[in-house]
Formats: sequence, structure tokens, C-alpha cells
Amino acid sequence: MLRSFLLILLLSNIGLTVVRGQQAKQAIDMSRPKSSKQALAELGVKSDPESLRTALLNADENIRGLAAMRLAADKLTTVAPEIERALSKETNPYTRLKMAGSLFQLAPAVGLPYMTDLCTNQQAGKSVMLNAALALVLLDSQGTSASSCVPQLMRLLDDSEAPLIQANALSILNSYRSKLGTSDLDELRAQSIRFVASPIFGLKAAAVHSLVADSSPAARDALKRAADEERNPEDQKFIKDVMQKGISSQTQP
Amino acid sequence: MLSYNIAPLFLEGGGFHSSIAVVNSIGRTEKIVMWVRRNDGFVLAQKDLVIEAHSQQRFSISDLIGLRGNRRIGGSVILFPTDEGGMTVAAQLSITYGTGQSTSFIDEEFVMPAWHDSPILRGVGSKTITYPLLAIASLSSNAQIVNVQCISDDQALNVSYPISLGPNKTVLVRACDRRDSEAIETNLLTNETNSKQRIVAISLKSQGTAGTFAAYGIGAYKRRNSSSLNMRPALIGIPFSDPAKAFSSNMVFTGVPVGALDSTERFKPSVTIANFGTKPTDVRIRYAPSSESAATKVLDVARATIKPSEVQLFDFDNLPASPAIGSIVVETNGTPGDVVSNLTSFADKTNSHLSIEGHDANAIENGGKHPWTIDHAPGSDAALILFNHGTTSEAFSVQVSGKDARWAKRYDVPSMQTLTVSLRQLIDKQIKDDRGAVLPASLTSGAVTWYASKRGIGKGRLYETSSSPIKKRSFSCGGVITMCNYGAGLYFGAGLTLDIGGSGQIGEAYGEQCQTEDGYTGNPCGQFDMGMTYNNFSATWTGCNHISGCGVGDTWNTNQAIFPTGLSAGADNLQFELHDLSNYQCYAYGWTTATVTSCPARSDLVSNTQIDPLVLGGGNPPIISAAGSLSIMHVGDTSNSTNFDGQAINESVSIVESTCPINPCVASTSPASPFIVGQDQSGYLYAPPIHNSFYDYHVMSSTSNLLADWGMTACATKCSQVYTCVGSQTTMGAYTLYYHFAQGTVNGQPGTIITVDKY
Repeated sequence: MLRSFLLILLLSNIGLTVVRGQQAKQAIDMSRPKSSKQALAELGVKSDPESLRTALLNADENIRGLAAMRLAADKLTTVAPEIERALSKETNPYTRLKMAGSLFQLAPAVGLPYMTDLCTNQQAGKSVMLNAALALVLLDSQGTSASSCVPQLMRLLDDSEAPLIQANALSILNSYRSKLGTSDLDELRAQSIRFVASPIFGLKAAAVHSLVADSSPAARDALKRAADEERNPEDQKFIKDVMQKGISSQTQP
Repeated sequence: MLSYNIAPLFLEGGGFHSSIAVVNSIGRTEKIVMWVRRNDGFVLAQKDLVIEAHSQQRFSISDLIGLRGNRRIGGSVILFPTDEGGMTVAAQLSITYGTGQSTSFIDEEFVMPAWHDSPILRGVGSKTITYPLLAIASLSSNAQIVNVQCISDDQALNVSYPISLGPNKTVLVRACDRRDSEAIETNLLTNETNSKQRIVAISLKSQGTAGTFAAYGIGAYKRRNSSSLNMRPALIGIPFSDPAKAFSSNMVFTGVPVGALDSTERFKPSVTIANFGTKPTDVRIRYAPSSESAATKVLDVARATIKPSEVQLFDFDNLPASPAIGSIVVETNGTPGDVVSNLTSFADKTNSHLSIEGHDANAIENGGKHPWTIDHAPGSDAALILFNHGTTSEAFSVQVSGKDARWAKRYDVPSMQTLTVSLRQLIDKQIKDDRGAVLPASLTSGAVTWYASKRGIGKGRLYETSSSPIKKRSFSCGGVITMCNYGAGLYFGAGLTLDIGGSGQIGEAYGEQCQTEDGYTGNPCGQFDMGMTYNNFSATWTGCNHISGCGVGDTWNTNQAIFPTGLSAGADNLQFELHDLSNYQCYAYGWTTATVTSCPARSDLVSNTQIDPLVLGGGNPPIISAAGSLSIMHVGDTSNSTNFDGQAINESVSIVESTCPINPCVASTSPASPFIVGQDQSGYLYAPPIHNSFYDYHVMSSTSNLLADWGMTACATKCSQVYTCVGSQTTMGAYTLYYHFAQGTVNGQPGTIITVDKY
């Protein structure tokens, strides 16, 4: 569904554009996704519990996932068994993630193994693994449910073929920093110091934020060195800008 | 009605020198007139004075009257304001006689006779070898008869007789002796070495209108071993006070030197007490050593009963807990004003002495104001001496001022202890005041003002000293220091609007430090602004149901902006009441409102995750310029004590700088489509509902290779993003969005990789 409307120009609604004399072919979509309730409504699915329970078995994987999210948002704990049953049959990794996350919200003890599996099982795909880890960090802000995802996140940091995955793994670990052990923090710092010199901007940016959040002298030295040695003037300015502002606004959920 | 300040006696010439110090301790320039008046009422000199705020001026009488030669002259000095607005200057006339170690220093405070005074003045001298010299000065245009009643341990001096006081004249007579004579030569300056030592107390009662005369006396003390005919006697002042202005039967003498304070002087206090009443009175003399003394216990050093019309002398040759700059309290059970006392501390090695002005323990004045000067003379210092004669520890607020200088510090003085504050040390050591200010190193003179929180607990005086030339000047003018220009800066009208967890300034309870011209009458709040903050009041705030911050204000911290915190949604009607602690009748009250919205006061960036271009889709044609990020924003404090789920949040985004021919700095929210706290998000990533959090996508996609179209290899745009809660105009958080465009492969084709960072 999303893919279809991404190609549509919603000039009046999407906050598009720009343009200093650019050609019309440069249509740029900046539209914001909707909530599960709005998305379901656009897909013609009602929001009553019965309709949502039925939608768990819809042929459209997107609708199945959205229905699970909606049931969790409505805190309908009685449908947790039905979500678990749907989850057990689900094969689409992202839909599995939505169902597992919803189950974790309604019945944490039941949903946690599924979420742990999703953040550690490479068969789910790296993006899903990362998304599962992020969801656990966010959903269980007081607990340590996401700790089981940490080893896999650390491994993803070494995935040099996917710098975006590395960047996001670093970003999630940085968000989970307060619950990491000393050895994990040391590893996070070491990787951040390595990545801060990366030519990939996303990875460099994640490393800068991680080092700013790290109050150790080694992190401070690495940041200063990175700022001094950065050859790209814009990137150098970016690093100094982030260093100056700090990352004090970044807190645990 | 003009108010007059008068020093009834100056002496100039023939070894005498008189000078006047005038101090203005308020925050405006004072314009006053000074008359130097001869005994016959003729005005020898008139000078218009302009005393700048927080400053002092000193004048030599000889300069004022242009006296040449060594001719001796006496008279009085009068000060009065140029208009009827009143004045609060304090003034003192200082008389010196002699030179070197044998110099006599007499400190004569100006007094302000008023219509509400009684027609009686009383004073007692220290031990003297002479008939005291008595000056009675008229402030009336009518003649009056003043009855003189003397009490002495010398029966020959127990006399009572009338004196005629002409209009605006001064009579200078030998007291307690019906014989009129050339008083100065035959009495004070006698070289009689075998003169009898005696104590003399004098009561003056005018048959005229109250408040129309003033008096001052001088006695001569026989110096020890003063066998030389050339040895001049030591002169000691006899101040007079109105018994109707006595509010207690106790007198306080602050900063009494006791014992061998240095190698050259050993001080022995001497107290004289006279009972003008009709009943015997019991007397207790208490000695309170200085706070620096090892022994700080208050000591009863004398007890006695004094019969009506009797004087007694108490010499303290060996007070314990000395040496010390202590204080002495004379307590009696007589009627206030009936018992009068005097204290002089004699230095037996140098034959010098120091008279300490006594003050009624419960005087209406709760503070003092004094001039101060330090110079380069050896040992030059000006020390403020404070004595807490109350029963509990007391905070004294001290302000030292001078040209372009204001210094204020609170000193805590324990009960019955004396504290000495050296202004020399404040300047030389650059000691910071309570707000971190220091006095300029070049400052050498100015005004010092102090006050205790209320009357009846604190006394003080300023002592100027130097060793060469010898100087011993004591200034002890009191003052009623109170509050004025008080109130609270409040948000009237719409009041204050806060978000939950947010804070804002609701106002500030404040007061200025003021002086009252006449503490016995008039408004309970002072009318002369000293231009300095007044802390001696309490502020009570009530009505805080949805904000923090109500309660009784800290006495010493009320002159500060108040920033309550929004606790829960709702509206409060707030009241405040402010009272001057030195005078409860001086007060203010007011009200305002505070409304706490249901909005959180802050947002925090939890995480910013880059979105894989693959997630944005292949399509036909495929997306080849894409990506962005998903920011998770937490609202409210980290304790999550308030539930903000469901709250609508808006954003505003604006461009800061860019190297790209594009402006991605566009808000994605609208009034109809805000961010909703606690709401899930469909779309590129799994985004479940998070308590007190919302999602903010920053995504771009295009089927064009943007950089290729622009003919660029890379560019960046920096945006400013601000979140506001719907229902509040308060900024919850401000961030930078950094759009980075780089060449890369997207969906298997050369394209533009867009990374969005947020911080």
C-alpha cells in the first residue's frame, strides 16, 4: 500500500518541496506514515475488535500486521492467544514482527520469546532484527528484555557490507547504553572510534552521537581527533556542531 | 514641618578642634543646610550641603567659620533639609582636645528634638574632677526656663536651679553650680591635681514647649600620675537623652575595649549609673565578651541597688575573659528613663580613654548608619562592631557603600556576642559579599548601614582608629531601617501559563531597604529608599494546587524570581502576603493566576534510526533517491509521572543553511494532522505505541537521481525543528535536522542516498 502512494504527488498535503528552478520530474515525496488505525481505515478495515480479529487472518500481510498493532494499541489482552496463533502461521518477517510486538505488549511473558527470536534470528533479516531490538528497547524501557538482543547487535556492528545496518545497530546500542555492561560499552566505544572516520555519512553520524554520549576521555579524544582530521568541510562542520550541542537531549525512554 | 538636627556644643580654638561628619546612606542625593551658630544665636556660617547618595562629607568648624588665631569659641550646629520632604542624614560632631597620647576624643551625636518628645533631658557623666561644662541650646524662637537638677556623690553638687534660655541661644555654664563663670577655663582645663573625683548626673526640664532644646555636657577626668602642671585633663562627653523615648530600663554599650588589647593600652571599663526615679532600683551589669574570645559566657559583673537621687560608680579593673572587644548591658528594674548610665573605658598605660555611647536596649531603631574613612596612616581602620543582645542568634544585614560601590553581607551573630567587621580587611582582602561583589581596592570612604531583623536585639557602632596621628572616633547613630517600595512583581491579567513539568516566572516578592526620618511617627514603612535590596521580610504564597512553589518564603531569599513548576493540569488562584519582619504593620498583598496546561514541558530525542531505501520501495519507476530516518521522541520528565498519551504535538521546521538546491525543511504536521503522543505508526518500520512518546519520520523519496539532476556529487541542508504542544505556545524542544545527500546505489541503480541526522 505504501509503495503505491509513494509515487503519488500529494502537493497539498505532503510538505513537498522545494525547489530552486528544478524540473517537474523531481517530484519528491516527504509524506508521513499514518497510525495503524488510520491506515486500516484507508484499507477499509473497521476498528472494532471483531473486525480486527478477523483481519488477523486477512490475505494481505500488511492488513494482518496492522490489525495486530491495532489490537495491542487498544489493549485487548483477551485476543493475545489469537495473535499468537496468527503469529505461529505468519511467514512474512515484518508482519511477524508486528504480531510479536503486539503480543509482547498484551502478554509480555508470551511475546518475549518471539521478540528475542526476531532480534537474534538471522533468518528474519538484518532490518527486522534491528527493528525488533529497537522495539524491545522502546517497549520495555524499565526492564532488560532487550539485553538478549545485544550480542546480535554487536555482531551487526561488524557487518561491513551493510553500513546502514551498522549505523542503526550503533544507534540502538547507544540508546540502550545505560543498561550495557562494561565490556559492551568498551566494544561500543571501540567501534564508534572506528566508525567516526567512515566515509559513509550515516555511520559517521551514528558514531559521533555515540562518542558524544560516551563521557570517557578516550571518546572525547577520538571526537576531537575526528573533528580535526575530517577532510570534508561539511562533515567537519557537522561533527563540531554535534559536539557543541552535545547529546544531552538524548535520554532513555 | 522642618525637622532639625542639632549638636548643642562645639568648641573651637584654644586647643579644641571640632569637626562634623554627615553621612547619607539612602539612594538619593540629600540637600541640607548647615548653620554654625554662636552662643548668642548669631549664625557664624551657613553652608548648603549636597550629599550624594551613599556618601559622607566632613567639615572642620574652623574652616566653616574662618576662625583665625587661637581664640576659643563655642556654639551649636544645626542641620535641616532644604524642603519639607524630610531627611535621614546622620551626623556627628567630633571634638578633640590636646595632641598625641593625651588627646581627648568626644563624639557628640546630632539629636533631633521633636514635638512628640517630652520637655526633659537626662544624662550622667563619668567620674570627673570638675563641675561639668553644660551646653543647653534652644531651637525655639521663644524664651524658656530650664530647671537644672543635679545628682552627685558630692553633696555640694546636689542642687536644683533654673536657667534662662533665650530664643535660639545657647547657654554654656558650669553645671551644678549656681555661680556663673567662664566655664571652660575654670573648670575643664583646670590643672588642679588634688581635685576631688565625683560623679555628676543632670536632669533638665524645660518649662517651654517639648522638643525645643538640646543639651550636651563635658566632664574632665584626672589622668593617673598627671602631676605635671602641663598635663591636660582628659575630657569626657556627657550625652543627654529624653526619658520619654526610653522603651526599656536597660542600656547597651557595644564594643567595649577590655584588658590589654595591645602592648600600649590596658583598658578598664567604668560605668556610672544615676537613678532619677522616686524608688530604689536594682541594677545588674552584664559583660558579654567578644565572639572571638575563648570564654564567651555572659558574666554578671556587678549587682547593686541604687536609691532615688543617687549615683554610683562601678570600676572594672580586672574583668575576666579579656582582652576583648566585648559589650556591656546595664539592666535595671526601674521605670524606663529613670535610670541613666554612662560607660567609659580607661586605658591606664596611656592615660587615654574611650567613651561608648549607650543605647536603650529596646530602642525603636533596629539599625545604624555611620560614615567611614580609612587612609594610609599606620593602623588606620574603620571597624563595624555589632552586638547581639537578644536571646537567640541573630542575622545582621550589613551594607557598605561608597562611590560606585555597594557591598552587602549577612552576618550571623550568636546571642550575647560581639562581632567586629574590619572594613580595611574587607577591602584589602577583597572579601566577597553575599552576591559575590567586592569593594574597590581604591575605596577609602563612604557609608555603612546595618540592621537587625527587628528592634530590641541588636546594636552597633563604627570605630575609626589610627595610631599616627592618634585617632579614636566612634559613630553610633541609630536608624530605623525598614521596607519600602515593596510588593511583588506578578503576572496580573492573564496570569502565568505553564506546561506540566515546565516552569515559568510567576513573579517576585521584593522590598527595598528604606529609612524612616522619624521612627516614632508616620508610616510604618520607610519613605527614604536606600537603593538596596531589603531581605528582612516574609512572603507567604497560597493557592498552589497545580503548581509547586507555594509556602512561606525564606526570609533571606525573597528578593528572587519565583519559578513554580507545573504539576498537573488545572488553574490556580494565587495570593501572596508580604510582611516586614521589623514592623509587621508594613505589609503588602496581591494575587495572580497560574494555569497549567495538559502539555508536557519538554521533549527528548530517544533514538534516530535510518530507514533502508529498500523499505521505501522499488516501484516502477523505482525510487532511486531515498531514505530518511525515524525519530522517537519522549515527552515529559523521565519519571513518566504524568500521562501525556493522546496529547497533540506540532512542529515547525525552517532552513538554517544549505548547499543543496532544495529545501527539505518543511513541517509534516498541520492542525488537522499533528503528532499524537502514545500513538503507533504504520509504515516503513514497526513502530508500536510507546507511552509518552511519539514518532517523527523524516523521509524523502524520488524517482529521480537528485544529485545527478543537480549536477552535484554531494550536498547538505541544515534545518531547525521546534516542537510545540497543541494548547501551549511553549517550546518543548528544539533540534537540528541534518539532511545529507550522497551518491550511491539505490534499488540497484545509481541514485542519491539521503541520510537524516537529528540532534
